[in-house]
Amino acid sequence: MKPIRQAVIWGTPTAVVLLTVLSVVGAFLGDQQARQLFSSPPLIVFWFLLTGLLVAGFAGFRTLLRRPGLLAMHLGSLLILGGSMWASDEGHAFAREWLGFDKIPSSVMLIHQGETTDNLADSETDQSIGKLPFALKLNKFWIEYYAQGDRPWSLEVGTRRHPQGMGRQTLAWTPGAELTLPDTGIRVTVLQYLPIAKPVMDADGNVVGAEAAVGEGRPAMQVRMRTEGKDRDAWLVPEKEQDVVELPLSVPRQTAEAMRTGTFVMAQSLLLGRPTPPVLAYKSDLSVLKNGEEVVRKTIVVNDPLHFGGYHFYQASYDERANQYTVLLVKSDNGLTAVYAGFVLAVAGGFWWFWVVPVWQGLSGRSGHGA
Amino acid sequence: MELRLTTLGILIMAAEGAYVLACALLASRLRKAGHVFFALGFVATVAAFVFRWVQVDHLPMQNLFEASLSMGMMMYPITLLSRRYLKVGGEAVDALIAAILVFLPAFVRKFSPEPQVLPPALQSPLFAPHVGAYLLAYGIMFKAGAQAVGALWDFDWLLGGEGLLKSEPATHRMVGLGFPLLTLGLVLGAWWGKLAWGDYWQWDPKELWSLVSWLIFLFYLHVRNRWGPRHRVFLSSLVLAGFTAILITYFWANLSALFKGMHSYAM
Repeated sequence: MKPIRQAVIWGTPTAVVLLTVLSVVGAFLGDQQARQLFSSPPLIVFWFLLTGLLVAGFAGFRTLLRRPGLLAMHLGSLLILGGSMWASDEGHAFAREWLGFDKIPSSVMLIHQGETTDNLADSETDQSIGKLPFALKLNKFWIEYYAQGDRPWSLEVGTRRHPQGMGRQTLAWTPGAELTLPDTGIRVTVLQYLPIAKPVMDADGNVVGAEAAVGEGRPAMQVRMRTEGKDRDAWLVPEKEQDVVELPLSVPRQTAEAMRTGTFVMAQSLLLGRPTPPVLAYKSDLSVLKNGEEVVRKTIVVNDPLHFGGYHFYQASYDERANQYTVLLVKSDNGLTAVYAGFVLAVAGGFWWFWVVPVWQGLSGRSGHGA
Repeated sequence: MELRLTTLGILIMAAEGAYVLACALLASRLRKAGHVFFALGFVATVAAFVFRWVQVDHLPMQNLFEASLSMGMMMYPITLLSRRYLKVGGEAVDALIAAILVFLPAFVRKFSPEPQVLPPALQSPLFAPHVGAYLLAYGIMFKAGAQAVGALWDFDWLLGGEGLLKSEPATHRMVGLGFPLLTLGLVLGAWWGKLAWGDYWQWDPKELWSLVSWLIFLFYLHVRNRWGPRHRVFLSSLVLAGFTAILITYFWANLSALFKGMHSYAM
């Protein structure tokens, strides 16, 4: 028993220090490289050694078995490590090779509204990598937004209106402050912003300005643009049903050559537009079908996946242009019970050992392990 | 640096003033007056916390502005609990910690008071317990760090007192108080990661720094448990290393472009 105790006494601090140093290195590497580092063959050996140390701890130190708090913390850690190893890609490969459990650890599903599919695809190549033993139907995908309130419209610079705002840059404007537009050197000052305005027309019916109004309506903004020492004042006045109004800037015509050589100037217009409200939720209404029959139906959102048939289905992405399809991340649930049991034991053991036991010992007049 | 003359800004600045005064009075052994100002600072931070909650319509622990305010609010209850039940002193240093924490949302431009809505990833029942457990653990570990400084350089006149523990056992008690909360924060984060992103662990820099903090305190507890308090300097240095790792997790990992990751919304 003594060699085991010695191994645990010196092996545990060594393993903890090693894991600490590697975690610091991983933090500087970034998540992608850190993931590779911690899944590399030497680290796989390390995870097994750490697991072995925990098991040896039970064999070498009977105290761990006699004290419920210590037992729970160490058993919890063991379950978390074991469950995570079982849930890893390598754990799945082992289960497939030696135990005949054929589950795909991680994949994606792209489903159009109204479509039913059981196809699992690789998240990077989009190639089919397997089938589910059941099918999923996307009944509906939609996005909910926070209420807009009376936020001022946003002033942007860009080439054209786009549903997702690509190629545009929002300007942080305040009345009177001068801004420099990217690429062009044009300086813009917001002279006034009218939250509710009505257009002022000339004799020909052209909009030449705006004045404050009451009730409901669109806003208006007066800007001053300065190029090479010359000032030009202009109004941005959206019409009744318009959610954006565009004011062309005096920039040279952009050519395909400019596009090719990367000298294309994006700042071709000033745009005053209704700001896109922040997203409240992405929702996919899903049905699980077995032999054509619906067995489960659930609307999933971020933080609330669908769990069925040994897989979790997460809301991962969507059709950014027309909301016509959803993309689900599909994860095998191997090791889930062990990891969750480990979480409960590790936390409960910690509170028991560090909080409950000292209080109990204090109440019963014995000196605690705390000090 | 900027002066924030809004209702919220004034409440936070009032808390800041009260905490600074409390620190000065407690360090000058004017305990009663010091406690009055410490309590007034606490009341001001609670008022600011509630005001912010109403303003943003969610628990105000989303970004560094709100988290620092919340931690500044937690220091006074931690002080009272530590003195009364754990026999750990150091109120003057606790008031200083609270003053430093509240200074950030009071004056520092990087800690923006701009209200933010909760993005879909943060709309979870685990948001409050995960962040709350971490902030409380950090407040406790800051106090443990102060006691560790006392154990290294004999500041018992400032950190101890009659009927109170000396700095080394006081450090151990504070770490024992904070460690389960640190574990809870870590585990709830892993659970949340599984529900939101499909994986318990993303190897993102903030996660790794939080693991580093946890591992250092785990190492400290193993060493202290195995060899007792006789390696005082080594043990206290470990606690200070854990304290530094928490500072990196909380500030550097959030503010530096070096550590871009999935927790960037915490800015």
